[in-house]
Amino acid sequence: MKKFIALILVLAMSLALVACGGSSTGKEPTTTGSPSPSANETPSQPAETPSGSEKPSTGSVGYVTDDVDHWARDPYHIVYYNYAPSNVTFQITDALEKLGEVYNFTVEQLSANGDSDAYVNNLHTILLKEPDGLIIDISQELASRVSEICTEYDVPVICVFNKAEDVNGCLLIPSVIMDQEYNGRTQMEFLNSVYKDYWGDIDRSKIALLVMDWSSNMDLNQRGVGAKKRFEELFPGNKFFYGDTASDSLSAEAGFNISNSILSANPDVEYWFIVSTVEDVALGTARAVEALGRTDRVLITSSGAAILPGEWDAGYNGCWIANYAVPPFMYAGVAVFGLFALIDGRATIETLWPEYHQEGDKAARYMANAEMMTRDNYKEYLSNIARSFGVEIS
Amino acid sequence: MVGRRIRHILKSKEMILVLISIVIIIIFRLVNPNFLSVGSLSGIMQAMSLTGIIAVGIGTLLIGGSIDLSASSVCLFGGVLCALLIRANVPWGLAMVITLIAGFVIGVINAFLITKVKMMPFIATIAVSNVLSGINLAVTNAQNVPIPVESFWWGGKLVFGIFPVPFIIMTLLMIVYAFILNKTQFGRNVYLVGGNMTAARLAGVNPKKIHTILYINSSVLAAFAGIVLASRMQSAAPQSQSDSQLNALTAAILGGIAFTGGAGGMAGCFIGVMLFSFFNSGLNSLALDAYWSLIASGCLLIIALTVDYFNELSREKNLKVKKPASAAKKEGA
Amino acid sequence: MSKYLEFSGISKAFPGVQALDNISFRAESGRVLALLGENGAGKSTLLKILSGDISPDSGSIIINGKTQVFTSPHQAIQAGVSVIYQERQIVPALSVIENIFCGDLPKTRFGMIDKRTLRRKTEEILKVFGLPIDPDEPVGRLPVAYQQMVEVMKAYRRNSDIICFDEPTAPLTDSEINVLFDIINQLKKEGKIIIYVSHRLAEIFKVTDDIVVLKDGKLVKTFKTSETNQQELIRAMVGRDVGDTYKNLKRNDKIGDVLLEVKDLCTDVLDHVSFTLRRGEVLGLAGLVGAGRTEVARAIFGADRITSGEIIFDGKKVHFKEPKDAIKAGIALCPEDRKDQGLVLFRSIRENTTMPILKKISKWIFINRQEERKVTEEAVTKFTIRTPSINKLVRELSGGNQQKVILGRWTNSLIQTKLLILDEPTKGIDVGTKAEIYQMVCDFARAGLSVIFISSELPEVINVADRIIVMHNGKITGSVLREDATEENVLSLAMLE
Repeated sequence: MKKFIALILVLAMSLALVACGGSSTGKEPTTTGSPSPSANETPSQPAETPSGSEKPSTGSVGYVTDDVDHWARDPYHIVYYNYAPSNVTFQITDALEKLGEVYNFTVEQLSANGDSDAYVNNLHTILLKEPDGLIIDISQELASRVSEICTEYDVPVICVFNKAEDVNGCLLIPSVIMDQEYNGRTQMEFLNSVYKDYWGDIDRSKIALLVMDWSSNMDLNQRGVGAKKRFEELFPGNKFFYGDTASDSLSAEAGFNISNSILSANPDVEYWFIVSTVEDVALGTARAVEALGRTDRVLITSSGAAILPGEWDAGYNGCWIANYAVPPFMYAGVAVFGLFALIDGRATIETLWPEYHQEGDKAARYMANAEMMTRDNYKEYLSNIARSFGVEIS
Repeated sequence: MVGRRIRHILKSKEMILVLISIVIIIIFRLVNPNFLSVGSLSGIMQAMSLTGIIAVGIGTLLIGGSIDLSASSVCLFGGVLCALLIRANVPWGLAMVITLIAGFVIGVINAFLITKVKMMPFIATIAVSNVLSGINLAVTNAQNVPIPVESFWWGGKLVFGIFPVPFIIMTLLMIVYAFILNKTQFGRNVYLVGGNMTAARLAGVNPKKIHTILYINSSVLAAFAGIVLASRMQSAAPQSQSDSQLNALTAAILGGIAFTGGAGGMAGCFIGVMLFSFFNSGLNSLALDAYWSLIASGCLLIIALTVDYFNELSREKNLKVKKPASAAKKEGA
Repeated sequence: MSKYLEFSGISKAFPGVQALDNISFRAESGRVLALLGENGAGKSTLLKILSGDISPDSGSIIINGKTQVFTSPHQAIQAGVSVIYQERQIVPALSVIENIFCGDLPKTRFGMIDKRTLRRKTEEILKVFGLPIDPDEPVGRLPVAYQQMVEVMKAYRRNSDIICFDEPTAPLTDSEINVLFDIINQLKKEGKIIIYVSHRLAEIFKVTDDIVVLKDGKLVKTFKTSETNQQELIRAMVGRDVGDTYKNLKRNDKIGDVLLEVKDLCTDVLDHVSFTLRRGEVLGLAGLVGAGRTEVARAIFGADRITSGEIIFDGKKVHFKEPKDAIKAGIALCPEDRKDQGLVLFRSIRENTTMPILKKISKWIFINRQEERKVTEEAVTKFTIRTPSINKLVRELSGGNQQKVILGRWTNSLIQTKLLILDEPTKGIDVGTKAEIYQMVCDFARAGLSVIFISSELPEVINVADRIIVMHNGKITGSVLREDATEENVLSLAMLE
């Protein structure tokens, strides 16, 4: 009897551990949940200017092109407070520090380490200390609470990656967000435009799409949705497969196992597009494809600027051919200049980035749209973006 | 005599697990005839290996009556350390050795906290786990560490076209450990200490020494698992959420290693890992929603444990009939 | 109508032993009745029946003329019975008030706890008892004596007419004992029926009015305290006809030189224990439960820490930090609780037998199965352990066979045991196997081993040992040779203040 109880406790413990593991991951550079029903459809901004510097209409403030002497003042102190540390948050911090050297401000990185309660409590503490400016990212379910807290204080706040909306979907804090569906769609557009270079002029009906997802996060999910929709428009009637690593973990190994299973279970599929919503999973997927010896029939794309550039730097040249870029400087830079405008008093929440204001919102939704990076152009692309914000990276 | 041995094996816990495995394979194959094709088989064996290597370490520790919840973190740490060393131009053979030594040190720390400072194993190992996670993050800034040294990628290679190298390693490890547990003094002492630590101490066994060795063993194997993973993925991820130790624990318990210690063996462990991996892979091939997978895995564990429980009950029943009255105690005044 | 409590024909049997056999006596109100008897006499069984913990096989309890049948402790409490056990039954974190009214908090009209009434009633009770206790103090922080008082007050609050004390003075100092006796006298005055279970004869003479002596489950005699004395009581408690059990034992007559010298041994329980032991000698260690005998064994064996004192074994001064070291020197221990401390139940006879000699049956790191089988079968034969196979799990063996396995572990041809310590070796074993074990002890002595034989069964210890040391409260109170030992004089040494 005692043994049985002990075993049941193990089971309960296991399920509890798995459940806890499933919710907060440190890995969500995600953000922007699905477009809220009240907002307009596809606010895809003019994406012809992939570098973060916009050419604003006269009178607009909050951009790198603002005519301000950043060194005519004391250094600002900007706090970057993230929900959970991940490779992206470290990249953003790094970008902020470099920007800080050029534009005269200091950076402090804080994290709630994935603990929602701690996040909210610490937020109060941080705001009470009155830094000059605050950049945050949040877990989407905290959005309304966090937005309301921020409006109670005088500190200028800008949110990156997520939409700081209240319960009615009204954006309370200026947010620099990624259009997730656009992300997925762009990946599919790219695949459609380059596949002939790798496979020749094959029969289009032989191509299947596998979306590798981490379904616990709604934002990531939207990327897969965008890719699938475009796939159905471009390749009507083709096979579609869905792989979800949420049953395992957000890791390369899970990506390996699941994509391996799906690919081996469908040997009749001749050509594969694989869109992986998260880079880590894409890495494992690439390895699985190599292990199966199918690298000549698979093309993989993903989203992010952390892992794949590292792989390319190390010499990788395989079937994971491109990523939708998430350039840290784009987010950090845009946020910082918006913040300057708020701190200096040159703009308020309502008047910042007027080109990005939508009906029903208090603040602006800056849609940070990027491009696909390939092995040939990623270095240039990323340094161009940094340069557009005044920073040279090698 | 031989007939009796065979019957004994057929009735054993391990056999039941093998039967369940076969049933599962048949079911999944019916749903998708491509399940268990050559390609997917090697993929399954890869998944098995990671769980299996950690299970050998955690499993023997469980048999010895204790538990190690730092294995996942040590695994990630091992991968990161090895990757960083290789990036620093250390030859990968040496990098592996250094990583294993680091695993050794972590095991010593765990053992020290538990046997000398007398912390509860649960808490001590979780604490160490957190420290290692923090170190991983700090040292890598949460960035992946790619390993561009091709000769190190042995983890992804196949032997005879079907057996991944890690699988061969795992099988060899299990055979060696089965040997150690069954045939050596040390193995015998592990069972005794796990079965009844007090009695073992009063009969001359040193439980502290046994536990120290077992903790070191668990950490070294976890570090090795990290090396294998880094080799397979050709890079080290400092912060992937890893359920590897949970899977290893589940597999070990599925395979008959008692959570309370003193029972079970490597044969069961191997089958438990196999069952667990086949089951997971089968679920993956069905491409179900993630929560169905979790529900199914949980149910599998419940079923296996229930079958085991009823087995135990029937064995107890036979016991009660034969037990003579003299086993009763006198009531004291 | 004066109140009384009567036990009428109470009998209770457990598998293998008759714990109580037709017990009948009466306890009057306003009087304290002592229950006296050795370990195993039946005192605690009787208390358990009275408190509703277990039910008798036959017989009845009559309270004030009404026959009572208790199927649960709750019913006994309702009938007015309270038992104050040796282990504290208080909730340490709650206050005195809450403990006294445990389970019976008065409620106001709205169903909330009526704190005012609670406090008033508690203070009344405290006044009756005359104790300087703060009603709000968490009971866990009070001195042990006062914790006990809280339990007595709880019984008082329940209006229990029958209050039983089970070995109440063990944790108390002399002044605290006086406080307890004052309270007991107070309760007497209020007409309560008090039952007092204790080994301490001095106290029994101080505070009780009647004495009931039990022996081996039977009622031997009842006394009026004022009309009897210590010797008479002890004589009533002991004196059994042991028959031929011990007459035919082949003993050892060749006692050698000194093997073990214990000098002023102190641990947290032992108080300057000193004795010597010779080769081939069987030394009995007698005393009541809690006297410190097991602690002596464990201290010698290296299982407990020694605070001061010296042990000289085989001519050398020794200090064993772990049992492993004692075993290497040639000392062996069969623990008191053979299942929890002596055996790994889920492993085989073979594995349990070879626990300390693995090195000797191994070639390098590998265990030699042949050698293991040989030495185990040797033990099985020598001790006639009844089993079809040496691979049988020990938990499937009877108590007697389990004990034999442990004996086999320490006395086979591959281990050089010089001193064998047996702690309650015949506990829970049938008569036939007991006799076998007695002869085995003598055989060990004849082979030159020294044996320390610890037992709470008086007839056993005085008939098997060559010399008996008696302990009480961590000290040695006396030493008797077998020829001079009687149950009476050994018991009186065991109960000596």
